[in-house]
Formats: sequence, C-alpha cells, structure tokens
Amino acid sequence: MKSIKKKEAAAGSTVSLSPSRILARQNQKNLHPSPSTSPSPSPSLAPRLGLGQGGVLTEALHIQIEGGMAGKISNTPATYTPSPTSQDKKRSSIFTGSDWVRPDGRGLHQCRPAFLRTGAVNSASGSAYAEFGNAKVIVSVFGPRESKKAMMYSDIGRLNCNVSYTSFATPIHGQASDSKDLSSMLHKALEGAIILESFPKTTVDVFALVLESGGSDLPVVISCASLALADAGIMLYDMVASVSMSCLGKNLVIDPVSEEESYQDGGLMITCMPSRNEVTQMTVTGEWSTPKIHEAMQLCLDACSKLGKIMRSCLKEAVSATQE
Amino acid sequence: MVGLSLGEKNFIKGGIAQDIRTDGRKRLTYRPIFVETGVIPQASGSARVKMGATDVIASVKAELGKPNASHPDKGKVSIYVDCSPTAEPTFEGRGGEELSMELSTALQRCLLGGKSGAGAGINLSSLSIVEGKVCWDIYIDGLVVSSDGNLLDALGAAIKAALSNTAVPKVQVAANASLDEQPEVDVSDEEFLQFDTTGVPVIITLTKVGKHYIVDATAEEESQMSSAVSISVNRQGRICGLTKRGGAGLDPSIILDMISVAKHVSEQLINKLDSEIAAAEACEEE
Repeated sequence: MKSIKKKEAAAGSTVSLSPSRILARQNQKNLHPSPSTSPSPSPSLAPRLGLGQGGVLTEALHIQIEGGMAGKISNTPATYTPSPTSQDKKRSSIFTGSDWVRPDGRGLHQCRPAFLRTGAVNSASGSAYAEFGNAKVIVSVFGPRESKKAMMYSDIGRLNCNVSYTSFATPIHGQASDSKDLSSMLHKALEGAIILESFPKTTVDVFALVLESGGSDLPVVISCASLALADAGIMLYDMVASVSMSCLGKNLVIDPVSEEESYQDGGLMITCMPSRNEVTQMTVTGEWSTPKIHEAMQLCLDACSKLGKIMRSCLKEAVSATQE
Repeated sequence: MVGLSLGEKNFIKGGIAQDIRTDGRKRLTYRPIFVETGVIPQASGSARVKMGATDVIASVKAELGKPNASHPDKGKVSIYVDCSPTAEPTFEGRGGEELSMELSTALQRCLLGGKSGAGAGINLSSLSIVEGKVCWDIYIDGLVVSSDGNLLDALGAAIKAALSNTAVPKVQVAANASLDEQPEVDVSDEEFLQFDTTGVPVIITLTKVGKHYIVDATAEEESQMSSAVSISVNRQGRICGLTKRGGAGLDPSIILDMISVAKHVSEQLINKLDSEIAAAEACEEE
C-alpha cells in the first residue's frame, strides 16, 4: 500500500533514518531463531515488531511490510523471504522432519511484525487498521450511541460486536470461516476491559472487517479492536492484546499463519490486559499436557505485554502527529 | 430466574468462602448424577443426564456421507446444542441462540481436538469406510430441557453416555466398484459396532465466586460468578480443551491453579460417570 509511505513521510519523524538503519542491522542479527528450549521472545520480539522510539516505522519494518505484501520480489532480510520452490519441500517436511520450518522463515518463537495505525476510517468515532504479516484487519467503533435494538433500560453501557470476512479474504472465494463464533469471542474478550459504567443507557458498536485472512485472525482482530476503542475515546481499564500459539508435533509455534493453523495439533489463544496482568479470554483446543500449557502461556503473555507496548506507542504517535 | 436479594447474594458468597454451599455441598463436590441411556429409539445412540435440576438429552445419529476433501481418511462429526424454551421462556425463538452457539462451540473444541485431528476424543479415522468416497457422518445433538446451572458439564457427560450407547451399523462395500463411481455400500441391519469412548474427555467447569472456585454451580451461584473456566480433561490427565467464560479478567496463575484443580476433580468424575453409564447400559439391556 503506497499510503504507508505517505503516512510515514507525513508523520514528522523524530528519529532520523540513520540510527534506525543501525537498529535494522541489529534486527537482522536477532532474526536468527532462538533455540526452542529457552523460550524468551524478548531479544527477538522487540526489534522484530519494529516500532522503536516514538513509534516511528523503522527502516526494517518498512521493508518487511513491502516484502510481505509484494510476496516475492523484495530486498528484505533473507530470513523473511519465502522462496517459491521450497514451499513444496516444507509441506512434506511436516510429517517426516522433527523440527517444523516455518513458511515465512521466522523462528519458532518469533511473532510477525505488527503494523498498527489508528484513524483509518473517517466517519467512525474511532478506527484502527492492523497488518500482522498477511492478516489485514480494519476495525471501526461507533458510539456511545443510541441503539434501536436495546429496548430495556440498563444502567451500564452495552457492547455490540460484529466480525465479518470479505469474500476475497480467503484464497477460496466466499469461504468465511465461522464468523458468528468470532463475534461472540470478540465480545467476551473486550467486555472485561471496557468501563461500561461510563456510558449508561447507550451502546458501543465494534465492527471488524477481515480484509485478508493470514492466520491467527482472531487475535489480530481483538488487538486491532482495542486500539480502535482507545482511538474512539471509550474508557478502558487497559489495552487488550492477544496472541495465539499452535502446537505442531512437539513444536510450539507462536503467531501461526494459515498453513500452520490448518496442520496444527492444538491451539492456544490468550487475550490479556498486559499492565493489569489479567487474562480476559483463553481458549485451548487439542490435547495438551500441563507443562506444555505452562510454557505456552508464559510465551503468549510475554508477547502480549510487548504487543501492548507497541499499541500504546502507536496511539502516542497518532496523537503527536495531530499535534504537529 | 427470580432475582436475588442482597442478603441472598451475601449468603451465597459467604457460604462459598466457608466451603458450605446453599445446598450443603462442599466447593468441589458434584450434585448426584443420574444417567439414562437409550431414551431415543430412532437415534443411533442417546442419553439423558440429570444433575440436580439440570436436565439435558444428547442424541447421536450416524449417517453415510462423503468425507471432506482436505481429510479424505476421516469421518465427520458435527455437534449442535439446542436450548429448548421449556428450560427458560427467554430461549424461545432466537433468544437461546447465543447460548446454543456458545455451548456448541465449547463442546466442539473439547471433543474434536485440533485441526489435524490430533487429540480428538472421537477417533475420526475409525469412521471412514471408503477413503475419499464414503464415511460416517456423526450428528450429535444436545437438548437442554431444564437449566439449573452447569449446562456444559451436563452436556459433556450426556454426549459421553450417548456415544457409549451408540451402535454404528456394520457396512459392506461392494468389491467390484471402480475408482470413479460411488461404491455401493450395504448397511447391515443386524450387526453393530460399539463406539470406543475411552478417549472421550469430560468437561469440568470451575466457577470463580469471590476468591474461591466451585464445581457444578447452580443457576443462583452462576449469577454471582465473576468468571468461569471450563476445562476438558481426558482419562490420561491431559487437557483437551479450555474455554474461559465471563467477562472479568483472571490472573494467569489462577488459571493454572484451576487447571490443576480440574485435573484433580476429573479423576473422581470420570470414574463416577463411567460407573453410572455402565449401570445405565446394564439397566437398559434388561
């Protein structure tokens, strides 16, 4: 999307490009997958997620987004470019090899770079656009406003969520995967974070649209929705960040893409409020042993807290951009 | 449900804090469970489970179908729960739809395992008849007849009982079928195969009221909950699914504690349920 470049130019960058290039080079060093026995996403996640001081897009992140969208041609760091021929090899290695090699070359405990922007939709009270690798989601928030559906008086506010897929979101046209279920999951994830007492008798509507389904859609929708709520000025106890993990054989893989999700033996999704250290929503599918759940939860919570910081810096950047 | 006065609410919360609930149970004790199998003759298998005033019926119907293109060697299972208006007048029409969706999704998550089929309570590969062409489609339907809390646990138990009661007819495939045509399948009327339910997990819902967790909450206790976590545990003690319900946030250490409590409770529950199901099946045969 060319608009990204324009926005970057428009937002007065407080950090000049040369230190970020150094940061980018540091990023590249840290891109090597961390050994799966010592799970700590901290060295690899922070530079990977790209938004450094003041939330300005670093050079590395900028290139990665281009690479992600162009798909094939890019001058990205080598680990991120999938070579077309190796795709088939990877499919067979799922069943024979013991270590899963990720299609986009990330380490097992490495998340996709997060691109978050508020103010995507002008007519809404608040909105946000999120791109996590190939998963692209836009969320708009309307309210607090009167709702015709709500007939009864209620002394706390109401939340109404709706998640829908565009017909071109999945490779097969019109194949929307259980979006009814996603709406209620989004509702449950957000209702613990919103201070409903601050808007009695009214309703806040959250509408999420998945433009492209790139794997791990619900966590992206939840994180983007909480950013949109903050952009709309709705009072929140804390930002809501969400991360999911997949279990493939004996590997735990964080932030799976659609291919990994379709082969997964089990999945775990956590939604939490990082600063309050509270889990608002958690779902586990498949068979897990207790130590595995412990490990997966630790990794996810750590990633959620980093994602929470990135969301906050995105909001700060939006405010500082409007002030200039 | 009748509203609770402030005094009643305090009574419930205070009792739970002191390990005595309103009906005299301890925090981790289940209500007496009654299981009846074979209640629906037209279905391949069925069961009715009563936990106190909560009454649910589960029926299993096996039909021939075509397997999914992405998993040609596996059968299909679909789980759907219907909340009848006899349980609550608010369930009439579309009112009960949200609750049905929530229960159906939670049950699917617990019983069907991951996308690749690993960790499923029901072995899908055993449902395949001719790879890529014919398989068994299992339709599991749950009906909530009367609701007094803890619907998910009751439905899980009912499905487990219904599956043990299920008799899938034996099929014979015509040997001379060519590769393109649909093979002829002869469904036997006399011979049946029993389902293997040793791998089917049970679901345990832990409701957090104040600082303590209770198991098998009644509707009154559920109205006072801050959040609930439903954990599905199988015989080997592995977690097959977890769903958190309720809006309030929970500390991660509490969730891990709940998982260990659920595992502890599950041992007794699985044994109790198995003995009840065996007794019900024996009763039915007489």
